[in-house]
Amino acid sequence: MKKLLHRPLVRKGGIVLALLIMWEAWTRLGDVNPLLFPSASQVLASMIRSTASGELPGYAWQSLKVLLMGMAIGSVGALVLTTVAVSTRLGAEILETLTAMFNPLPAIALLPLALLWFGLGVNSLIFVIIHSVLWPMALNTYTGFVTVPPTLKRVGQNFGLCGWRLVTGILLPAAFPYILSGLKIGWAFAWRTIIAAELVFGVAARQGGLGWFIYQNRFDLNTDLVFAGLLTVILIGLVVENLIFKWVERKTVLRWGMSAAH
Amino acid sequence: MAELLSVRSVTISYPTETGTFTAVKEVSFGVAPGEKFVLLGPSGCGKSTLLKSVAGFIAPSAGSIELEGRSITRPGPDRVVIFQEFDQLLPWKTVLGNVTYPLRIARRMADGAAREEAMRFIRMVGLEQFRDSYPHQLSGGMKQRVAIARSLALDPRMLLMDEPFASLDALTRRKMQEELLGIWEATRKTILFVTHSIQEAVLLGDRILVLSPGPGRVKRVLGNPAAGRRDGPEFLRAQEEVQALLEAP
Repeated sequence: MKKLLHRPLVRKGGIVLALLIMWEAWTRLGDVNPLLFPSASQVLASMIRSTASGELPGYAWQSLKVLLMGMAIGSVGALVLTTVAVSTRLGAEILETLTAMFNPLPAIALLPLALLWFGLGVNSLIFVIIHSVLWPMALNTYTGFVTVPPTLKRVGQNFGLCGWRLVTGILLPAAFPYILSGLKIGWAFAWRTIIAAELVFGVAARQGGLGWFIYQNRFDLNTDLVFAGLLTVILIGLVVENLIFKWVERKTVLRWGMSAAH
Repeated sequence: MAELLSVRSVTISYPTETGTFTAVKEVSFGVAPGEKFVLLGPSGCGKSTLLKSVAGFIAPSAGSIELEGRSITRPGPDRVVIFQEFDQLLPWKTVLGNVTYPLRIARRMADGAAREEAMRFIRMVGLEQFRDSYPHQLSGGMKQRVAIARSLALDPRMLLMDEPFASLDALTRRKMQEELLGIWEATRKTILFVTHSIQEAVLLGDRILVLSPGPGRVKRVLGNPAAGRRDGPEFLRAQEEVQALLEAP
């Protein structure tokens, strides 16, 4: 038992449990309007019900689908930008200037413009996701490429590799720690951006994501479902960041003893 | 005896901000098949630059470099370089993967045959228990052994060794020198070896080319009957001779 308490994951789980109990106690004992702040048990019950009916997972999947599309396009764009940046000095300067300009601009600030250009729909969402992913990924991938040890490049050339085969055989795997950390940053930006964007406008019926789910339920005063939506946003974020990315890291950069020193 | 490698009046210079820097000036030498040929000189004499030129990484500004009568224009698996740097192994591949990979791409061997061939050389350098380890789990000496196994497996015309033992501790270096002599006995690969250590040059080199610095020129090429021995009067005499030559103006 004592040993169990020493494990960070167990302790952190304990903290979450304590928070839930405090929440439950406060809403039961205190004078709280359940329409504004429903109890933990009520929220969890609604969340389970909504999950079982497939409603909540459907909205979550819609958000993830749009996000993955945006991330895929953004990653390819980042790779193209990086290739240009690596091959010419002007390309590198273009990348540095563009990243310096667009990195401080929150993607969500582009949403009004996106709506103007692409109208109310998935395309506008994808546009802002691309923007949130492209710059951090391009910058990281570029850093990864330029920090490949020159010896490693020579080894590849010595094997007779050149051009595209040198890129896929040596440069890409050697830059992988940076590419992975670019993907992590890109995901973090993209996930926050998509929820925010869906909150700003409800996509046409049946196509809304988690943000839209939260917004709609607030409108109907289903506060428990608003909380359930927020919890789902947290849960998916935790799973992707702490399970999926950690797993990929264990299988790759940690096993290879390569870490992107930032 | 026909030369395997012919270096003829090679000059290598680079443009720098203040003008042109000449690293190597009008160097000529030839390496016979099966020979261990050492380039020896103080740092800054251009010996590494010369080796990189033979490898095809740097084009000479003047002169010619030919392997079996064919001009060298780019890097290729017929001249495999063993670098000083430990990061010459691919960190994302195991020991076996590191040796197998170039066999598949340069010699176009099928998976099974490549693995078999790779294991033969991994065994030769005594690392069969470490076949599934990743480079970051190996010591410096083991990493250099893998690099040697990888190079031999490619069955090149020449091994180009660029101070491969310079970053190792003294004991490991000694051991690696012995192992290299053993490997050479077994394979008779032609070796071009760059070093700044007199002791290493006299131990390994059948012939030793002594370079003078700034820019690198040939001082003299010495035959070395003491090659392969670490002690005895011949070894000491050869060491003194090389020492005197290096110190001579």
